[in-house]
Amino acid sequence: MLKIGVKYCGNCNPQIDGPKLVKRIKELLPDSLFLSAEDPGIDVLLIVSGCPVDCATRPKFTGPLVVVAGKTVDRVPCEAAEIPEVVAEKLQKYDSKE
Amino acid sequence: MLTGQEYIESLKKLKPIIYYEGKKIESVVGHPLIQPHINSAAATYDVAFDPAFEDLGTAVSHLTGEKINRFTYIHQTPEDLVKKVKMLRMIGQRTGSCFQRCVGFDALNAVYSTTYDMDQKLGTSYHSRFVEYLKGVEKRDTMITGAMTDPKGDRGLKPSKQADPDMYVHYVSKNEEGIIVRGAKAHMTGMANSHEMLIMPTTALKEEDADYAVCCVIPVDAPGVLHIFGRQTNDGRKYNEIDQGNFKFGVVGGETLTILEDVFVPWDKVFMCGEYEFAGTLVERFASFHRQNYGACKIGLTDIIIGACALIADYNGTAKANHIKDKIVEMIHLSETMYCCSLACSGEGRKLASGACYVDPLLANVVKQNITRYIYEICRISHDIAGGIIATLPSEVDLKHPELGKYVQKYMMGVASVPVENRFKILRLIENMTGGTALVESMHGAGSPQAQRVMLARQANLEHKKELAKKLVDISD
Ligand SMILES: Cc1cc2nc3c(=O)[nH]c(=O)nc-3n(C[C@H](O)[C@H](O)[C@H](O)COP(=O)(O)OP(=O)(O)OC[C@H]3O[C@@H](n4cnc5c(N)ncnc54)[C@H](O)[C@@H]3O)c2cc1C
Repeated sequence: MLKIGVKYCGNCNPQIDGPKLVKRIKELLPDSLFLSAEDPGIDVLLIVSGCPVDCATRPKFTGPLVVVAGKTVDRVPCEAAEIPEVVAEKLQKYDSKE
Repeated sequence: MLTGQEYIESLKKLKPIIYYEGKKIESVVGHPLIQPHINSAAATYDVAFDPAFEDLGTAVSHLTGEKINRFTYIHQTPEDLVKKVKMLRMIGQRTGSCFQRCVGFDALNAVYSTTYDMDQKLGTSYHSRFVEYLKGVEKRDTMITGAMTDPKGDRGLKPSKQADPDMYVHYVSKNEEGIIVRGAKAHMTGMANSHEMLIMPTTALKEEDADYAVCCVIPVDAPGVLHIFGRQTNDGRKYNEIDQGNFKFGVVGGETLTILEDVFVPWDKVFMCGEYEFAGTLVERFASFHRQNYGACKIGLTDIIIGACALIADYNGTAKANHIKDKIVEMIHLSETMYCCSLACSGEGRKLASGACYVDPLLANVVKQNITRYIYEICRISHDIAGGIIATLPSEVDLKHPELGKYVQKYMMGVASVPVENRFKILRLIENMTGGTALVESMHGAGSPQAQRVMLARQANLEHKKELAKKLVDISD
């Protein structure tokens, strides 16, 4: 099972609704486990920053990252409606079963 | 760390003596005048536990390495100062009102670095005493009132020259156990629902005013402490919901006049007692940290005001008019300009001798100077967009009245598809967030405009500017 750590920025002026986005990603990846970013067992870290400043503090994790920052995914502009699918697809690549 | 609910429970254990209109308030929790301010302060606790906000709402203590509520943290880097600004904006967006806790936060930061400097210069041992106190604050997640402003009596006279010596807080005696303080602090934000107050001098002091150089911590319910809760614009509406505008979080911080009638303070809670040379440093640092905030929390509030204005334009059917669109853009411009200033004074933050980080004082004073103008301008525009109805709207009772309600519903309608009650709610929100008490806070909170201008004149490096002009046109003297 893919273990995904989630880290939000503090959402001071968000252009996207981070918690809603994560809820949607959870629906798209029902077999994955969503954990705190500090959890030592995570396979991949999902950073959810509300805007492109992307000031979310990075936890001590050296594994792979997927970064949502406003309407971008890994710095590439993305339509808001498409972000959940794009992120889910990227996260799934880190599932060892795949 | 405490949750918002645990904070509220902790207040029930305190027994502060608080009066309003001559009557004693038996319990602040649940009292219609104070509960909104408690809800607002509770938001500062809750954000520490919500994954969406905790990156701003928490920090790692430089003293213990523990995760703590950011409101008890001593800034270590410019990034910390930026996080503070973002946190204040974020909470302001949630409460639409003052959440009070920044004053104590700024007081902690100012006292931390000033006691360090005092000890270096005077050989006192206030800093280690303060650090011990601070560790307890971090652990207990204490809500502290930053208590600087004295009643001041005749503004033209120094403390010791006042007709009544109690116009500024001073110590009247000291012994082996501690000190006795007397006087009062005015405009005390969040005092009614704090655990403790951190007393600081109001102004720079000279030797003849050494007795007024007092910095100490006092529980809000210590013997000899009495609070008188202040009136606010529209506080008679506290028993209605819609008419209050922001019924859940109220307006401004719920200020008190707090009287200290010979209050005993043990030495372990005393951080300045007679060291008049450092009163000015403490005031300047506290004021600069506090002025930094205004382009942060107030921007959370203007985010709501701008949103409310855009909504009322929708509800009134004016949203497509070019001048309305332009006025909204103007509000955004003013609001983000203030935010820029807060970010700038944070980004230019610097280390002090204690290792703690301090804002750029020149830029922090620019923040607050702009607030005294731009918030007024934003509120002026909001009144323009909302219409005269914010001054003449019938009451919530009449809106819901069995006989009158149908007339209010009929004639207070804007765009037909919008429920009249929604229009009422937004109009009341604009009215209460942009007038009276709320507006005055932008003028005088963290110091009147002239206080910033004095700092601007002092910090601006004018001689350097003169040299630049002379050099350009070859003047040498
Ligand atoms: C809503 C609100 C919340 C507040 N919360 C807090 C708080 O939590 N903690 C705290 O410590 N303080 C708090 N304050 C106090 C705030 O810092 C003061 O209001 C501010 O410093 C101005 O002081 P004052 O109100 O006594 O005004 P005054 O000092 O009476 O100022 C009125 C005018 O007189 C001028 N003036 C004053 N003295 C002189 C002088 N010597 N020479 C020439 N001109 C002078 C001023 O520049 C100003 O134009 C709060 C204020 C408000 C309005």
